[in-house]
Amino acid sequence: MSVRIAIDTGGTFTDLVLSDPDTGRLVFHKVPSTPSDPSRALVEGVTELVAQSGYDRADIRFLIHGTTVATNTILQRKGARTAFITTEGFRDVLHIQRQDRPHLYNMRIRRTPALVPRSLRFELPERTLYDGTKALPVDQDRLNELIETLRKEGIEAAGIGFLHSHIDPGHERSVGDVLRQALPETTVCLSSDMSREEGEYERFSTCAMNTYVQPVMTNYLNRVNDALSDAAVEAPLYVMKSNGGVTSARNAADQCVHTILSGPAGGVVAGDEIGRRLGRPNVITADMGGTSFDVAMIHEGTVAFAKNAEIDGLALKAPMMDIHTIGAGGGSVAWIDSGGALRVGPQSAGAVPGPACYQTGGTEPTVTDANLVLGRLSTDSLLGGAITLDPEAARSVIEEKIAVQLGCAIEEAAEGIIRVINASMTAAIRKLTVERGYDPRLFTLVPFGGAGPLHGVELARELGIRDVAIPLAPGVASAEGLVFSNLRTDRIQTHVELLDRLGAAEFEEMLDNLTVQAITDLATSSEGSEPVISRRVGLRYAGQGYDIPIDLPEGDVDLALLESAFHLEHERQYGYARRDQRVQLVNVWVSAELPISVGRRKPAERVDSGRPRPRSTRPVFLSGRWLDTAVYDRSTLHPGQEFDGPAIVEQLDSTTLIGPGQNACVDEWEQITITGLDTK
Amino acid sequence: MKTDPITLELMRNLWTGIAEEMCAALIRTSYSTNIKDRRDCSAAIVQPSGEILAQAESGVPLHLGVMPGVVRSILDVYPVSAMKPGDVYITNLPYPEGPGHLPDVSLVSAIFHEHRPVALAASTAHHVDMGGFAPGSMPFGVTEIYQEGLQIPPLPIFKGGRLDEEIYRLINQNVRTQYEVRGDLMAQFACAQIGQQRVSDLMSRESPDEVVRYMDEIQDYAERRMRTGIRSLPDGEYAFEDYLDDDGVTDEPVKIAATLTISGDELRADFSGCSDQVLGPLNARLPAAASCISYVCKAVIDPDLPACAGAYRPLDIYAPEGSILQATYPAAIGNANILTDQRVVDVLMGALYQAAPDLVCAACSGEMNLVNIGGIDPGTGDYYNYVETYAGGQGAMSDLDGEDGVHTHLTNTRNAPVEIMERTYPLRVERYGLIPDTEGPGRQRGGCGMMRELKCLGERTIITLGSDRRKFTPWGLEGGGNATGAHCYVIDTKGREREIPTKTHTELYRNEILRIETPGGGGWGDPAERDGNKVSEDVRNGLVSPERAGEHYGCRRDH
Repeated sequence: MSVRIAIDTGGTFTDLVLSDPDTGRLVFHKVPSTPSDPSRALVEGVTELVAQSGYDRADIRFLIHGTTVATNTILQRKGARTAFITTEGFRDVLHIQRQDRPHLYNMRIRRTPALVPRSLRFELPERTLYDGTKALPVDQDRLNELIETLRKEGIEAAGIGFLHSHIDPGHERSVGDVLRQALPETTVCLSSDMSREEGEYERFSTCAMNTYVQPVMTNYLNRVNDALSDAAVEAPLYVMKSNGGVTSARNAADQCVHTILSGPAGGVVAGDEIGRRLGRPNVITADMGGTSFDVAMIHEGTVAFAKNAEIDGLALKAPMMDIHTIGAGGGSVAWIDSGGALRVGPQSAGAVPGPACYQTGGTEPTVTDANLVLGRLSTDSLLGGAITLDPEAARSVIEEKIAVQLGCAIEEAAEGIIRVINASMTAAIRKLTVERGYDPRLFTLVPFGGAGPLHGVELARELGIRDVAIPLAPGVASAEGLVFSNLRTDRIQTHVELLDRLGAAEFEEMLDNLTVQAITDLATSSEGSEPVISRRVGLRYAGQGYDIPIDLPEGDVDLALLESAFHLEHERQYGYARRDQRVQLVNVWVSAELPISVGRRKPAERVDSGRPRPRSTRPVFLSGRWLDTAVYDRSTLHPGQEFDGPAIVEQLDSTTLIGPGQNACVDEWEQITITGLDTK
Repeated sequence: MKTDPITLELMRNLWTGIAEEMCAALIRTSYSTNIKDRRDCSAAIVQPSGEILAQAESGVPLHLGVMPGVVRSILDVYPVSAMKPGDVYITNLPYPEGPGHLPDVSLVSAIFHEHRPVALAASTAHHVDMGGFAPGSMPFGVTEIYQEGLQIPPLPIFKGGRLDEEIYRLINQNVRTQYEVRGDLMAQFACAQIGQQRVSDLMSRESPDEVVRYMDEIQDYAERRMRTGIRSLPDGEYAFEDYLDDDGVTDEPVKIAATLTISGDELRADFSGCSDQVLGPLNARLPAAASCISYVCKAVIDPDLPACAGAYRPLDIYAPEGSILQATYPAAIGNANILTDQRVVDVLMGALYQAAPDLVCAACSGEMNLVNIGGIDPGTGDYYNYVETYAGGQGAMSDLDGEDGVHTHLTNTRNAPVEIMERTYPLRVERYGLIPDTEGPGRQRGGCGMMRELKCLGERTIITLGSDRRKFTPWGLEGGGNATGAHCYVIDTKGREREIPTKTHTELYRNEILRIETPGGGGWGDPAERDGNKVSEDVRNGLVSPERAGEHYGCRRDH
């Protein structure tokens, strides 16, 4: 027997999933997180889960971890004492950023200060030009003085970012070597190892961030490994990256900025896996929790990646899934603005003080209060009834703060809150799809998170989406995704050149080099099988500023074919092509993926075709009226069963709503697929 | 019929979403640095009556007040009833009302639903060149709009979805960077296409009658919000004035003066006290002043105020004909956007300080530090043109330091990365950073100014500089000090440095270095009251020298 265990650390709970590929069995588990040292909850959860599910610790083949350590270290400013070394004359690149401000009109919103203060940003005379020419060698005397300064300042980590190092990293490497030799205890990190893309601020920022977090991440992962050893768990630990693939703990520490989306990436992988099982290559994942709503897009089986990412207002160049986040969740607060319109969010009551119905001090009407008033949530729907929700508190706060002002009934006000928050979420999905020329109607919506399945069918209707698929355990979908992930690495190189000036041989060589690098990345954590390589280029019309990714087919590259694929894609997205104009290569992207899934989850063999029996019925307010609605207990639903809406499905950490006229079917993977959406 | 506040909110978001999508398409397909990197563009959905319904502003609030004039000037010649699907109209003419200067090119087209025009799609984008005296078409050393560049009156530029090549030949002949201009025009066309598509989608999803009805509701809603905001300010008359150093032709300072009258829920801005129109290209037309006042209302009263016509109904703006803010044709106008208008905002802030001191900031850099460099690229033999506006210091607020090296008020464009500049133009960036001791001292200090040194690698490099605040430096409030002003230098190949005027048109030879220094921001409150820890931190970070800490902040030298 060999099982894999995924651990997804969240703010409140650490979710765990055990997967046994031989039997197709999935076991879910939840333990309270331990924010002061997340490794405690991790190890505790693993040992409990193994014991509960009847396996032995020796059965664990490997562990996959979604961690928030990198993100929290940045958000809480708890990183190492970090220095940043840069080309003379450019110490303030990290300070000025791109010289713009975060909000056009709100003068009080400031840029995020650099992770490394000006007093610890040092300059060295040296210069590489845009074509790789070394215009000025590194000043060795100044370097020696700098080493003394770093020592005196008690620097724990030093980042090095020189101009044009993405073209020629020679100077960064030589300074890095000297520092590592002179200061063996200091973590050294080069901007050219972080990114090979043009744009000094973004590359330096990424490097500074990685330098700042790396010692913290290394300590953390060492602690996890030690604690696992102490608990007699010897299986290797993998860490989820922002690109949706996993990597060894060692790599994750060295390239910790690649784990910024370690948690949410699991959810997108779960959505991808669900799409595969259903034979639907186009999926939109929608993760709605208490405070935020994360959406991502999978098109033709490929997850969309972000062009320019940032965290806490600081730029980050790392291969990242494009997970678009807005402040919309169960805790989003409803209010009437000075023009008399009903608004919801972006303020959130969060978990503390929480929605009014939690009775934990919240005094503002929230989305959760509205759902409770409308009967969509039951009083004991939170954590299986561990917290009792108070419908009267919800009614009175909605009445007092919304319904009276609008001059309408409480239910109407509550439904209005739902419509407005749904509109924000559909706008986020439209931004992700329509703005890039994708038609959301061709996608399947996979909603998860505590609140996603409650809003899923309504979002789908607004967007014209016909199918909705709800994972078996929507509240722990991110953890479930972790168990289906593969080893993956992405290598991206900026290479700006007109396509017609690009030699086929030169191009092939660049692709080969990147492929070798990518395979080498994986080899350090090899599982013995063959990596799957995919290649992509970013193209634009010469002079444009934004490139469009075009996939390269396997085998030799046909540049003419590539060019015509670009014209077509430009026309599809923007309505015109300039076929008489020259096309420019901007970057080359090679991904290598090494499957470590010992096999995908098997479908259930026993299929039950009967209609399930509802646990109860209750009135739910839907489209302006109260309807008697069947309520099902998720644990009593079996593969093959079908039922009609209106219906509510309740389980430990999530509630699913199926609207009138819609049909729900439990498929052989125990997902609920909902069809019959009368799209608007 | 009763207005449903929920539907109102949904409709407003849908229209804003469409305008933002149009603007995103424009940016993503554009060619010139101004648009693709600096996002000096905007897109709007306009009601057939000419009222702006929703506007996306990506980089600059300047287009906010200008768009209504653009649309009116086109509708005056080509009424909506005469527009057909696929027809797109162009103009860049600031007189009598229109875009702020010639490089801002606007496109307007009707959006149809079932053969009926239901809205207009409008966009404005700052093109890299519109011909005239100097690359970039914002020259100094000129006194008439004829010299500044090609004037395009309202004309149909796309017919039935195709570019009118005959009209376009004339434009093409007159611009230096033909490839980019055509590309950017196509990007604006893409923007219009997206507008039509999205509105068609909207009309098929929602009830068309309701969609149309709620257009007016959105305007009324925005008006209510603006009136509520103005009502929260105390009634009274508030006057303030400041001076631009000169107009680039004579040495005479140029007065910018405003009197704001707040009375109940209405606000009147009277610019009668401003200088008469000037010879140099600092003149403006009233829509530019409308942009300034619109911006200030949003910044001070309600930053999330919807960008639509209704919001500006409670405003009344006046400037006498023939004055610098309402200049008479053919006065040169090219640099009002970057100098005059930015100063108008400082002055409006100064006036509102008297009404609501905690809501405004001290003077910011007060100009946009335009740097325009062009010539023949020795590598390719092609004409190149680099345009950028450089950030400066932000003015302090009663409880916040100003930001260092940041774009303020009417501009928020991103910088050109050094690595991209050096690959794209025959320029080498020698230094780029903050200038210590340029902040306006105060209990809350202003932001520091910024400097950049550019080595010119071409044989002959043509430079246009448009900056100000050399003589009249950014002022502080409530006892806060003034910041250091702008300076420009040329360093020749022997290392000799000479200061040059901040508004200038000049040429540099190979390997000469241009050094631009931008102003800081004014301080707030008595510097002696500044928190000692903050002074020490500034000294440790090298942004304030120990000497200055002693002199202005009363700190001992041992910091």
